[in-house]
Parts: sequence; structure tokens; C-alpha cells
Amino acid sequence: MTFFYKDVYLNETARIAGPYEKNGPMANTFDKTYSDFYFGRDTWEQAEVKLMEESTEIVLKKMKKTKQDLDVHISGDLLNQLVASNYAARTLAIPYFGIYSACATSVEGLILAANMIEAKQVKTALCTTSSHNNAAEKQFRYPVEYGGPKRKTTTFTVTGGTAAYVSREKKGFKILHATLGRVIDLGVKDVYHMGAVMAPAAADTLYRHLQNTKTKISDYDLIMTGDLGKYGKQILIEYMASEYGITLTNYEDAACLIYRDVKEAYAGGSGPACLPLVAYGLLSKKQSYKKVLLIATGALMNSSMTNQKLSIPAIAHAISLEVLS
Amino acid sequence: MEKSRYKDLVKKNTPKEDRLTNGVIAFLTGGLMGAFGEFLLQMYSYFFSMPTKEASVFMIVTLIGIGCLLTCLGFFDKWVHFARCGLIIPITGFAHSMQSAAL
Amino acid sequence: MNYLHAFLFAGFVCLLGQIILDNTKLTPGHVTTIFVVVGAFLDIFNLYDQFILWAGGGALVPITSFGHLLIHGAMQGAMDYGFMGLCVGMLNLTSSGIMSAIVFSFFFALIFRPKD
Repeated sequence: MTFFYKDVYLNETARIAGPYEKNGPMANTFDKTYSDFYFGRDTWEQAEVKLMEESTEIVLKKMKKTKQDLDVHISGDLLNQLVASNYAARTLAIPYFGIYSACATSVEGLILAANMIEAKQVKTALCTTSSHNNAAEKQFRYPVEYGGPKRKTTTFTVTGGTAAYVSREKKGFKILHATLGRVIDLGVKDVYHMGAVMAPAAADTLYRHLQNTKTKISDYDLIMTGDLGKYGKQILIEYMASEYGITLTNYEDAACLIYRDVKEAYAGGSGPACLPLVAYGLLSKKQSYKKVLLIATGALMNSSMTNQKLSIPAIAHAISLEVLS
Repeated sequence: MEKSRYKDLVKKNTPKEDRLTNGVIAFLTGGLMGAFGEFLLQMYSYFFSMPTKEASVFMIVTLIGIGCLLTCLGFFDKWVHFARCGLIIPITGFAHSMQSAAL
Repeated sequence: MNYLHAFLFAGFVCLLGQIILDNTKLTPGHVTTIFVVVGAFLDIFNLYDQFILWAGGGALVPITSFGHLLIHGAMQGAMDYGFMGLCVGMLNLTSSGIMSAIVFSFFFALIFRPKD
């Protein structure tokens, strides 16, 4: 399912990051960073709400608009019942869609927003997403202060919040086409190897996107996947070559670019905020990219299902953007 | 792609854990913990003139207390991560899991 | 000499745990539980008491000693109270360890905040 857009633009983005990302290679592209995990709030969940609220404020300020100019708010995060999004939406108080596709949420939000704007149902949309390392660890794995050994393929949830302003205004990046992912499960049960879980979904969506848009890998100046990590990246490259005969060039993975020398982030970053923090950050600086393809990947499990020894399904959503000169 | 072929692809691209290093570190830290426990036992028997049975109870409680306190101070998780079984198998591992859950 | 024995015994038990952890899909929780059961098992023929005599603190520090204390308490209870004594006595010797973990965890959690 690929959507084609004639007149939709990703105008502006806002990016806020946490302590570990602050010391990473993307640090100079963030609008704001924090040095601890509480951001002045009492708990990590409330801190994640703050990430969403603040990134919304920053993007509205950049666009010189107010929340009255927004028609719809689309948001998602990793917490149970999407509470970070819900409580931030409470502050914003505009019509709201809560969505979930784990780490693929950012692009899912952009697709929904672009579809509604293209169909002239709304004029402007705000897409937000966030993740918080401690809140996610607490929910999906072990208590945060527990030091159980982790494997080399483990990824580290990024602490950050992003907001994107989408409308018909010809500013920023033109949204060209988007492919909606389908859930793929190739039998990987290992929660500590998210790269292996999500790579097949990324491959499937990428292949269908190229087929449906009749484009080639070489048409894009940058192809970026969400959080496959160091090993997932290699798996995807080999998978594309052996299954579809496609060689990936100009390919980067956001998880590999977000951290520098973080011991616990073995294979890289993960989380809904990983791809937007890196991709929006790279795009916000004057780069030589003209056409960019973003593929956000998400693993759709929770700890109950993995404790029942079920394999983990994954999804990937793709969107292509063109930089306006 | 069939699941079995994908499984092979994943295995090919997955790094091996450093089993030897882990084993050596676990042995050394575990041994040190054991020696430390023995030291506490001797200290309690000598300075407080307790019979071994009572001293061992105090030793276990002391180790649990140390494990809990270090967990609260925030760096014990890094030590456990480094030492792996060297700090998980001794009583400190049990105290660490209880405390981290309580926090 | 005791220190060397303590070091060797505790180190060996931890090494065994590490080998199991690295080569199987078991979690640290699984490994700890297995070791408690192993310690309990070794106490059946009073084997663990021999280890304690030889290694002193080194045999008391690993979680295997918990299993040993459980069985010891159970057997003592059985001697005092008959069959039901197994249940009555099992937690007798380990109560100090369990209670101290609970009490410490509770009070420290009131004072400290998790960081990272």
C-alpha cells in the first residue's frame, strides 16, 4: 500500500534529547538537551510527558504558530496505554489520534497526517513521539538499577522527544510518497536482538516501496532505517541482497549514529525517538541530500508475550521526502 | 524468506559473547567475594567472640546490607554488569535484585 | 589457608554460574534459582557441611548456602516436630537473610531514588 502525495510538506521539526544523546555525534542538531533523567519532574513517565510538551512548544515557536493553528495531533510512544502522549495531548487539547507501532510510530504518524492533509480533511497536523530509557526499561525489561548482564546485540532505548509540523505550506521538505508496512514475523524470539526481529519488516517495506513508486535505490541520496542497530544493519544488507538482489547504497541506520562511547548501548539506540532525532537532525542542517527515504521499524511485542515464548512480530513504515531548494 | 534460512542469516551476523573473559572475571570476582565473606566471618568471631553459626548469620546480613546500599548509590548495577556471575551468585546478587525492584 | 579455600570455592561456583549463563538461554534469575536448588540438594548427604568446613565463608557467600540453610532448617524441624516439621522449620535459618533483604530494601527505597 503506497500513498502518493501532491501537496503535503513536512515544514519544521523539534528535537529534545537526554544525557547520553547529548554526548553523541548528533548533539549539535538538538534543540534542547537534558543532563539527567527526571527533567525536573517526579517520575520518568512524567518526564517523558514533558519531552512531548516541550518539543511541541519548540516546533510551534519555530513555525511562529500557536496551538489554535493545529487541526489534529497524532502521537505515540512506548509506555503502556500511550500515557506519555495522552497526558501531553491533555495540555495541547486539540483533536487527537493516539497511535502505536513501537519504534515505527514516527513515520506512522507522518503517513496519517499526510493522508488527511492530501485528502483536504485537515490543513495542519502535529506529529509527536517520544521515548525515555528508564521508563521503557522498567516496563519491558528489568528494574533500572538492576545490572543483569546484557548481550552484544542489545540496543539501548533513546531518551528524547520529537515533534513534526505537517501542512500544505510550501516550506521544509515535500512528502513524496509513503508505504504502509505490514506485520512480518520470521520466528525470532530473542528480545535482546531487536535488529534481527525488525530487519525482515524493513526489507519487505523497502522492496514494496521501490516497486510501487518505480524508483531505485540510487534515486535516493540517503536511506535511513530506524533502529536496526549495528548487527541488524548487516542483516538487512545481506537480506536485501540475497532475497531481492538489491544492493543497498547511501544507507545508514539511525541507531548506529545516535551514540558515541556509551558502554551500555552495545548495538546502538532504539525507541520511537531514535529515527526522528537522527533523521530530522541531519535534515535540519544544510546537507547535500535531495531525496531521502526514511524507514522506521518497530517490534510489536510486550513482556507477557515474550514470556509465553512467542516469536516477535515487527513492522516498518517508509516515507520519502524531497528537500525544497 | 523461510524462517530456517533467516535463522542462519541472523546467526551469521550475530557476534559471539566473550565466554573466556566472562568466565575469568566471574571466577576472580566470585573468589574475592568469598574471601571477603571469610574475612567478615573471622572478624565477627574474633572481635565479637561469636560462635561460627551466629557469625555466619551476621556475615550474610552484612553482605545483604552492603548489596542494598551500593544498589541505592547507583553504581552497583555497573559492577554487576561487569562482574556478571561473580556478583550475581553471591548473596549480593539476591540483595541487588530485591533492592532494584523496591527502588 | 582458609582465605585461599574460600576464594577457590566461591570463584568456582561463580564460574559455573557464568558458564551456564553464557551457554544457555537461561536468565540470571534462572541461574540463581538453580543454584539454590543445587545447594539444597548437596545438603541431603551433609555434603555442604563439609564444604563449609573446608571453605568457611567461601561456601556461605554464594546463594547455594541459602539452599543448604533451607534444607538444614527443614531437617531440624522434622526432628523436632515430625513430618509437618519440614514446613515449620524450613525458613528458620534463612529468616535472617530474607528479613534483612526486605527491611533494607524497604528503608533504603524510602530514602534513595533510582538514577540510571
